[in-house]
Formats: sequence, C-alpha cells, structure tokens
Amino acid sequence: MKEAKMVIEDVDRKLMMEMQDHFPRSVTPFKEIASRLGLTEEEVLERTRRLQEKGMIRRIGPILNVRRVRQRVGSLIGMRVPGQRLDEVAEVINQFREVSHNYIRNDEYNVWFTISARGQERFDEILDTIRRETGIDDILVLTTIRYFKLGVRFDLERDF
Amino acid sequence: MELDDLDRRILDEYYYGIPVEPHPFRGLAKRLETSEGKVLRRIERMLDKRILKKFGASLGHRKVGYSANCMVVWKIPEDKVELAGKVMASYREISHAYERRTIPGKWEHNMFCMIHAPDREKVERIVKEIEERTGIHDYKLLYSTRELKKTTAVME
Repeated sequence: MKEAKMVIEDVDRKLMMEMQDHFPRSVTPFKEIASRLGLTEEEVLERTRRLQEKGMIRRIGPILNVRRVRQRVGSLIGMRVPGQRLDEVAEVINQFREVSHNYIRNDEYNVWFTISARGQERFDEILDTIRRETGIDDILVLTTIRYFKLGVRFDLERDF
Repeated sequence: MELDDLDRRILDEYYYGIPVEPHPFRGLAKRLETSEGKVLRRIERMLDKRILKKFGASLGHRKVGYSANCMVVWKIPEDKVELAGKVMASYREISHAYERRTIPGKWEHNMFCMIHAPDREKVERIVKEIEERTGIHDYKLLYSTRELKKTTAVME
C-alpha cells in the first residue's frame, strides 16, 4: 500500500525498527531508545503510544517460542466454511486462547488458523469443540514435519 | 528449562505487552513483590534459554504497509524439500517456511511459506523466482483477505 509509506514519518519508521529489533532490557527502555535515536524520552513515549493507537505497533513484550515449551502440541488448521457462516464460525474458533492466528484466505479451504495447546488431550478437545459447535467436519490438520524458517521480522527501511 | 511461578506470572501479565511509560517494569515488580531488576533478569534468562523468541515490538503488518500477505503452498517431492526450504528461507520477505503432513486425497501440498510484501506484484515476483530456482511448478497462492484473529502465543 503506497499510501501507508507516505504517512509513516522517518522517525516513526526508525523507532519501530529499533523497538522490533533492539528493544533494551533496561529499567528505563524508552529513555535508552530516545538516546540512541537522538530524541527525548517524552517524545519516544508519545510517538510509541500514537503508533499503538494506530495499530502499527501491536504490543511490546515477550514473544514466546512455543516449540521450547514442554508438552506443546500445535498445528496449522484449514477449514472449509460456507461464506455466509464465516463470522459465526470465527467466533467459535477465536474463543480459545490457544488460537493465536486466524485468517480468511482465497481457497476452497478458506479459514486458516493455528492451535498451540498444552498436551494432545487439550489439542483434541479444542478441535472437537470446534467440530461440534460449528457442525463442520471438513477440517485439515496439517502438522509440521520440519521448519526451515520461523520468525517475523519486518524491514521497513528496505521493503518499501 | 523449567519455568517457575515467577516466569509464568511475567509471561501472563505481559500477554498484552508492557505499559508504555518511563518505568514499564515497576508496576509488575511491585505486584509480584520483587524488583524491576529481577523481572528483567528473568526475561533475560528466558531469552538465553530460547523460551522467548524475542522481547520487543510486534508490528501490525498491514498497518505499516504490508498489504499483500500470502501463504504459498507447494507440492514438492521429498528429495527437493531440503533445497526448496533453503531457497524459501533465504528471502527477507518470507517469515515462515515449513514442511507439513499431507492428507492424501484432500490436501497434497506439503510445503508452506508466508510472504509479506507491499503489493501482490512483489509476492508474485518472489514466487516466480522460487519456481525458477527449485524447478517446482505446482503451487497455489492463498492470500489472506481478512484477519479474524491475531495475537501472541500463550502459556497455558
């Protein structure tokens, strides 16, 4: 989206990159970022809050590496949902904290989400509940065999 | 590594992120009757042990301009999976690349990658390049057309 590029100021772009890639583990992290970027702490706080309000920054915090957590059972799931039932079905799926992502995609399997649960039993319970509450049985459970890359890192300097 | 109660509380309390204020760790330290330094040391330790992928900002990819977000699914013969995985991983715009189980008769695509780009032309250029570099022509582009949920993983 070209417009988005226009409305992001250079300073904000730098600030988001710094907070994505090098967030300081210090008691006063925003002050430290301010000094790196030649801004005041007040300015960094204000810009950060504004970027959060706009949804450009979703959250600042710990990002769990689910594969390192014991007993974690997860999968990508694809589901075939009739167009007129999307919202209602999404509500059923999204009720679980173990579902972190859920997207509509342009395919006959049109709803794609991830479940990451503690133990096989809980995983099956979530899937069974989704089946029961939606009455939809055409569900693909596509577990990972191996991964080659994991991890989002946006490069706002180079991608636009 | 085993997480103890303090680690779990930290992860749980910061599910929605740290507050944007001069001393973001102070409030939690008080609630847990510990010090900011201790909270930070626990975070550091979880990073060292790779319980955490990172500590920092997650960006709203659409809002910052990644309008084309595509899951590309591929049918790749077993002896080419390794090569294809490496090729996919080499792109900055690709955040995830996996081999997954198939469901014969229902879903035969065994490789997945996620591409994030400013527009669909860029996505398609990358897919074409991967096609040329791997010789794999059997794939589908599944763009996300609506986000129903996007949060962060939780400890349960």
